[in-house]
Amino acid sequence: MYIVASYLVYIVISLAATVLVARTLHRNGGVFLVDAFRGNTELAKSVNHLLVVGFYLINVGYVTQALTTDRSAETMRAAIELVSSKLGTILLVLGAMHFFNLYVFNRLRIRGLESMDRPPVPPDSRIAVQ
Amino acid sequence: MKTLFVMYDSHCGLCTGVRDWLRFQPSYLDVRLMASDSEEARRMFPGLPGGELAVVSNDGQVWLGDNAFIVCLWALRKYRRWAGRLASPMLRPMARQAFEAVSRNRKSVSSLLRLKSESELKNRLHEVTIPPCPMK
Repeated sequence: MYIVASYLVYIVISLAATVLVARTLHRNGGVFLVDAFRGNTELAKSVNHLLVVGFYLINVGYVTQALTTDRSAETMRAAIELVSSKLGTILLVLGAMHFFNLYVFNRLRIRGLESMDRPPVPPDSRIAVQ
Repeated sequence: MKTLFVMYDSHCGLCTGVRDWLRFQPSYLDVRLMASDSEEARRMFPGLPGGELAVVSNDGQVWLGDNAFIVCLWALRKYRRWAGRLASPMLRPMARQAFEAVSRNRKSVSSLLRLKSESELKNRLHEVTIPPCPMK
């Protein structure tokens, strides 16, 4: 009885959460990537965009995959429980994906550091050396 | 940048211990270690403040204290990543505090770990009086 409404609520909230996390990742991950690619902003932007597209594909894919259910939602209570458990799974997947992305960002940054040709801290002063 | 000159406190056991460790680490650059109060260091870098860990590159850049420590790590093949981590905004303040705490108490840390510098050993050996040989 409530099943269509449950599906709609589930889809709207899951997609909203996906967009929110992806936007956060896009906005804040950029800084990491600029550092990883040692100031190459164009490359950082491009990689950031590619990562976010992958993030959207996996999450929206999972959200739509996980939509169908065998459970019935005859009462309001059953509908709320259904939506809640579905959303819980989606949020956990989103969280895991988010941390995985942070891990990727950091890996890229540290790999960039490996090949850095100057020290990561600026000099305190300069002197003349003969 | 090809060479790093690392100036350490030769009167502190911890510092000479770290120096001995550093000496055998594979590095990307030529790392030369010298005591900050040595004749050589004073001749090469007369304007350098003494009593603090200092790193000078062959092109004249100077790093002091915790920055110098991070530059030392950066020069080492195995620890370049650690230099990057410690220099990141998240760990930087912690690295600075840790370095300052150890550096300020380096004498007590050395004695706690029973690390003796060469100059201390030399002084101790001078204090030892050799008893006259009873066989004479």
